[in-house]
Amino acid sequence: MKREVKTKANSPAAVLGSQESYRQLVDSVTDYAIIMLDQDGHVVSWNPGAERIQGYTKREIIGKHFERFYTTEDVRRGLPGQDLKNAAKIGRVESEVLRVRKDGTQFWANVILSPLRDQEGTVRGFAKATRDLTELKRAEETARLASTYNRSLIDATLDPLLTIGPDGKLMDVNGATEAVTGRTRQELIGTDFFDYFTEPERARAGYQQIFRDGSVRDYPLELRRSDGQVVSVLFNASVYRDEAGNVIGIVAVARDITERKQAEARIQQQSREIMELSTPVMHVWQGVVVAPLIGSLDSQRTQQFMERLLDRIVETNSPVALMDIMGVPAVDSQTAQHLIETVSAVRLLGAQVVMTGVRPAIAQTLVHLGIDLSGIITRSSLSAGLQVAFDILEMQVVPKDKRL
Amino acid sequence: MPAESISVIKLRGLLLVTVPPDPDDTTVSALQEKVLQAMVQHESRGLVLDISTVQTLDSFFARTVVETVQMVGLMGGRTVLAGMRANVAVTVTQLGLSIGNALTALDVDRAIELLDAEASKELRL
Repeated sequence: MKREVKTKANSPAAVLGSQESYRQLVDSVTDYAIIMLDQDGHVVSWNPGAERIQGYTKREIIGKHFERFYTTEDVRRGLPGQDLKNAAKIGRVESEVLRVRKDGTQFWANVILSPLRDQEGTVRGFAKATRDLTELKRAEETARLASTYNRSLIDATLDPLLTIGPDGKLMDVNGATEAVTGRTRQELIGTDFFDYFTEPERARAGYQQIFRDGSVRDYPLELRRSDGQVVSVLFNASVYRDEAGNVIGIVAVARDITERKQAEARIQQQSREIMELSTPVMHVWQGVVVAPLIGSLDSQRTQQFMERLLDRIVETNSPVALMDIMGVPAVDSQTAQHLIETVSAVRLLGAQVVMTGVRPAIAQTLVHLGIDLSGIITRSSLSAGLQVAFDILEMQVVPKDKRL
Repeated sequence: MPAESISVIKLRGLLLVTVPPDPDDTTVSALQEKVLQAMVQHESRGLVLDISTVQTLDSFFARTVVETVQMVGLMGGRTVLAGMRANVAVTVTQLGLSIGNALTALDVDRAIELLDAEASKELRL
C-alpha cells in the first residue's frame, strides 16, 4: 500500500498533476506539443498542441512509447533511448530533427527534452516540448530561394555590379566586378570603394552626387586593377532603400569602356594621320604652292590646313597659292566658311589664292547655298589655276622651238 | 523641245549654247548640267548663251540663267547672254527679273569679241 502511494506520488503525472492551473496552461497551448514521458519514454500526458502537431489523440497515445515519433532510421540508430539518457545526464537536450506524424508524414521539429526529478533528484520522467518547424522551414526555404535568385541575378549580370554602404565600403560585388578589378569577392567586400580608382577624389565626388541627387548616369572613372592595368568605366548608380524608405546604400553598375575608348583613340589617331596625309602643300613652281584638299573639312582640320599653307607660303616666298578642292566630297556653308577664312588669312600675308577644282556639283551647291565667293578667283581645273598663277606672276610658258 | 537636243558647241576655248525658243523647266535644268560638264571637259574660259530665239523668259528660266552664270564663274568662266530680243528685254525689266552679273551682247559675234577682250584684260591684270 505504502509502496503504491509512493509510486503514485513520484510518477510524472503526480509531479505535474499536483498543479491544476499548470495543467490548464499546458492544455491551452496549441502551438507546442507539451507532453510528459515516464523514465522509459512512455507517454503519460498529452496536450491539444501535441494532438494538433503529431496527430494522435490523447486516448490513442497515452501509455505508448515515444519512439514512434522518431523516423525509423533514428529508431534504428537508437536515438530515442540516447536522447533520454542525454537529457537525464545533461539536464536538457534541444534539437532540430525530423519527426513522424501519426499519418506517417515527416516534419521538421524543434524538440526540447528535459528530465523531471523527484525530491531526491532521481529522474522520474521527462517533459518534452515539440514545435512544428514546417512553416518556418518553408519560409526559410522561400527566403533561401529568393536569395539564390537574387544572387544568381547579380552574378549573371555581365557588367560589374556592386553595392556600397553609406560608409563608402563595398558591401557586395558580383563576378564581373571580380573580373574587372582582378580581386576576389572576399578581398573586395568591406574595403573602401574609392581606393580602386586612379582618382579617388572624383570617385568620392560621384558617390556624394548619388546621395545628393539619388543617382548618377555614365559617370566616367578609371579603375585600377590589381595588376596595375587601368580600366575605363562608366558608372550608373542609384541609392537603394529599406522598407521605411531610408537610404541604406548605393547599387552601382559599371560598364567597361576600355575597348570602346581604345577604338576611339585609334580612330582619332587614324583621322589625324589621314589629315596629315591629305593636306600636303607642294611648291610646284617658283612662287606657286599647290594645296590639294582631300576629304571633308571640319574646323579642326581647316585650322591645321591653314597653318600649314601659311607656313609654306612664307617658307617658299610664294605670292600665289592654288587651293584645289577637287577632292572635297561635299561643300556645305560651314566648309565654305572655312575656305573663305583660309583665303582671307593668305591675303593677310600678301599672297593670292586661286581656288581650283570647282566641280559642277560644288559650283551648284555653292550657288544654291548662296555663298558669295565673288572676291576669290576660282577655276574648274588645276591647270587653269596654274595659268592664272602665271598671269599673276607675269610669266609665260613658251614652247621650246618658239624661244629666242 | 527634248533636253537631249541641246548642243553645246566648243569654239576657240569658249562654249556656245543656243537656247531653244520655248524651253520648259526640265530643258532649262538639263542645259545647266550640260554647260557645267562641258566647262570641266573643255576647260573653257567663257560661255555664250545664244537666246536670240527665246520668245518668253519666265522666272524659273531667269533664275537658272543667273545661277548658271555664277556657277560658270566659280569654274573660272565668264558668261555672255547674246541676242536677247527686245520684247524679252522689256518683259525682264518690267517683271523686275535680274540676270545677275552676266554680260550681254547684241549677237554671238559680238559676244565672242567681248569674251576675248575680257580675257586680254585679265591677262594684263
